[in-house]
Amino acid sequence: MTLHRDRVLIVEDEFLIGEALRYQVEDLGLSVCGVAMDAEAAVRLAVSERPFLVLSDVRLGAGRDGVDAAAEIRDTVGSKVIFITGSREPSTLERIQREHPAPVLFKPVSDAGLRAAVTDALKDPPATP
Amino acid sequence: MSLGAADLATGSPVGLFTATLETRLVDVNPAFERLTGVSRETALGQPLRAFLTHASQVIYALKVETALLDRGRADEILLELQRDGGGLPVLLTLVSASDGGAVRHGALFPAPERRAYELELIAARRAADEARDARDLLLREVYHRVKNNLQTVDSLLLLQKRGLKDPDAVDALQAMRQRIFALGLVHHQLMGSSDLRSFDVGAFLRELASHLAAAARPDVRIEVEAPVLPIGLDVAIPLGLIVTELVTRALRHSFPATGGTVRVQLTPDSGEGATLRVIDDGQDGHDDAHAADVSLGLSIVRGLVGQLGGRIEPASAGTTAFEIRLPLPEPP
Repeated sequence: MTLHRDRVLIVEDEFLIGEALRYQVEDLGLSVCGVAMDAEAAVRLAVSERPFLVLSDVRLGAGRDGVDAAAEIRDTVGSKVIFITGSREPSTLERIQREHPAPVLFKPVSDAGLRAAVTDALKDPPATP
Repeated sequence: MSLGAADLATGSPVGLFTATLETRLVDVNPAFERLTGVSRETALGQPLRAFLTHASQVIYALKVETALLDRGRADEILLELQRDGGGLPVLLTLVSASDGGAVRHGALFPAPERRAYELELIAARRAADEARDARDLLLREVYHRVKNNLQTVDSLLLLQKRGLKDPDAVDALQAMRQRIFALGLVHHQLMGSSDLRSFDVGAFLRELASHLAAAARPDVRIEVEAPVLPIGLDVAIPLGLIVTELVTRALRHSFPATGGTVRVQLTPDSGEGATLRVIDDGQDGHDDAHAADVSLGLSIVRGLVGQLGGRIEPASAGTTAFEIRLPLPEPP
């Protein structure tokens, strides 16, 4: 089943940051199929909406984090992932590279930085699940 | 009356022994017997290491045998003799015979104080390490939270901007977002620095410039020339804001029709200071529509230069080139 190339899922546990990101994505001419606030909602939305791209925060409060959610979405749906994190902890970055190599954007995400990363992600076909 | 060598060995408070090259005991003095709790008859022929605790046998293999191989002697190695109810700390010194014969001479000094002192040192060092780790963790968490709060402020500005039609208002909010980004970038650099207190000014300015350039016309470049120099939070926050204001001003006013280059140069001078220059090769096309924001930008620059104890060079007043002398104290 194919993925929707203009559809983006946002995974962010903070409402304001998620909404601002939604606008930034929409300004790039893409549509946002949802803003998931935890890993379970992220996987559920990815399965039902089949977005081409997932923009995921790393820390998601209690429960599974964004790296866990992204790994599951990649394995079941095949969406591409861009991580967005406020942290620069080497342990987190190493874990991303080890478990789910993907581009990482640091907060605050600039319009230009987001545009460059998204354009790059849309260049290649998604991973086949 | 003179004492013979035998009397010296008999009366010595230090355990003395001779041993083969494999460190099997050939002779021991009474102090050796007292320290080990083993009679001379039982001790002779045994390897020295047989009298050590398990842990000390490992240290013996690592330190004593290595030292003997490397230098032909081992000095002041802290070991524990195996005694009922625990180990007895001793310092071992072991040398080859001075005449080159196939024998080693050794001495065991009781060292209970030294052992206690060493344990205290180890405990103190571990406590210091733990305190530092806890502090680092806390600092990282604080930087993370400050950054996250700045991200929330940035999100609010972005949401506010979206509802606005007035281009001046949109510009003003966009200028605020650039300033917030500069603050966030300082905390971002701090989180990635090894001492969590200072970071390289060159890397900071290049990252700041590349962010500012991304919002400019594609045919305008920002070039940064800066040395590798550590700066701390107190300098980085005002410096980041000053550079943001001056570069934003140049981008906004100097390139109305064509592209060009904005140069950010930080040149250290002989003392504890540096000269910051922001120069562009565009035309000075002052746009009165932004007069209010320009004057805010320049008053921010003047105020922060004053806060840093620097001064704006008179030659730069009223031109697009800015030259600012700044003290750059060593980070704390």
